[in-house]
Amino acid sequence: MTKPHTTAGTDFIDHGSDTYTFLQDPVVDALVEVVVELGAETWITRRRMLVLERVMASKGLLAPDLIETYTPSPEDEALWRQERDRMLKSVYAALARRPVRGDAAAERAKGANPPKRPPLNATDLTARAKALGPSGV
Amino acid sequence: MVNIDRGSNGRTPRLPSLDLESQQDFVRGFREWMVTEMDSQIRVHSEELAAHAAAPTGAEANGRVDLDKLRAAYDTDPLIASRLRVWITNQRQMWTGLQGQFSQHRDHYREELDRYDELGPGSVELDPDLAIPDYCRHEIHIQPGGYVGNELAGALYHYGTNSFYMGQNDSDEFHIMLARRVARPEDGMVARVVDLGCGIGQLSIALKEQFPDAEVTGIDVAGPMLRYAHKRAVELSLDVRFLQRLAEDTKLETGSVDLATAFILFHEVPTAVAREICAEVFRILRPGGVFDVTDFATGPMRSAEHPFATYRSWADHQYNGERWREEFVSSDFLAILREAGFVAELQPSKMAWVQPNYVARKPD
Repeated sequence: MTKPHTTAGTDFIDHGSDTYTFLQDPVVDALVEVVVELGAETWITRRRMLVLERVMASKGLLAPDLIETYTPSPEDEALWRQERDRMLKSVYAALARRPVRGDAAAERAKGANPPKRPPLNATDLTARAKALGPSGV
Repeated sequence: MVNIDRGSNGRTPRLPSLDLESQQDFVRGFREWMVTEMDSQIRVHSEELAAHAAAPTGAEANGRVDLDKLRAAYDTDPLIASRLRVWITNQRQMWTGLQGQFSQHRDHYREELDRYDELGPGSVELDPDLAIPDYCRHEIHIQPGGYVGNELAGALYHYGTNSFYMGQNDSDEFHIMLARRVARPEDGMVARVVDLGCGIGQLSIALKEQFPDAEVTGIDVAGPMLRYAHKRAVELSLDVRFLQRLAEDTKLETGSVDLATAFILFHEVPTAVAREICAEVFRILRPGGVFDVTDFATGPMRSAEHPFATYRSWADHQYNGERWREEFVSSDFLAILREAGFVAELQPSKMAWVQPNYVARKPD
């Protein structure tokens, strides 16, 4: 494994964008985030299916009744469960986050002795990626 | 190692997975919907609220409704609050997807950057001892880690801004157009070009293509951005020199530069630093040299601004990590250029957006 480059990161000022509250209740903010995430998940899936159907049809492999009557194997089930849980984490992350009253952004925007975070490195990013799961979205 | 080579769109490699590409496609589509469909309603709604906020005296003397009055009317309005909510959600969704996936392939990207650091044409000169000023440590556009605090900042910025450009800049089209239309010295001599706050070097690269015989230098404070800039220049076989330095302290020779550029740099720095940068550019330009700046409208230019645009500018500052935007747009940047000794004027915008073009010439 390569080492992080010496100039690749320095302390930065975290803007705290996960704590913003715009609506009358932080939970309502979270619900809006959930709805937008669901939209993304729906489109990701639909776009993959469009690709899949186009590829299969171009190879002469697609017969719609095969899709309708397919019975998943135990391995399929295990993999799909993992994928479903990844999607749940991604979509509902906002609901699982502890809402913070007040406005972190206002403090950041004032710029008076703002708190700094150490540079993001591959370890932080890896932990985040792990939490997000195989496809990372 | 997983194969993440999925071909390219123009000059930009495709994202490393179909799911991420689809997620970013959603982000882009949602953004387009937000600024067209949603904002068509918001504009009418915000005008009604602004008219009420300004009553009974109407618009303020400067032609705009005072920001405090706008905030009093807008901050608690459910429709405008929803607009801010989905905007920030859209931003966060974009960054979360990119950061998650790029970090999964961190070794690949690290090895790639390490390898390209040593390749030519061109070069990247990093300064591990450079004192990074606090003013540039913010998470600009709420990009995770900002430009200086994330080793993958270059790639994140490149793909993130592709969403801002609505997919119209995959081959640096905007930057190439800016370079083609850049102001030139009256004697036409362009042997040395410096691009300040060059970031991932899209304009620096376009300037090298426009002036192939000139020595082109890109300067930025952020090491991760410069490494990515150099990698792109190498891939395009363009000889560009990238230096990790401060725009207000370039350490370049006095009078050595024919043309200097700064594309959307100045709204990312405090006014005091903006003055220092202008003084530094005046120093390094030769007599007759030109400083071409593209950035937001400032001071008197904002008199005809729509009330929601005024509010959105403030919201960008407040919520989107644009720490210095309000300070910049409240200043008179033409006056700052003139105070530095330039003969400065506004030129029609080079871009489809409405950013003005400030052209500043160092007198002979």
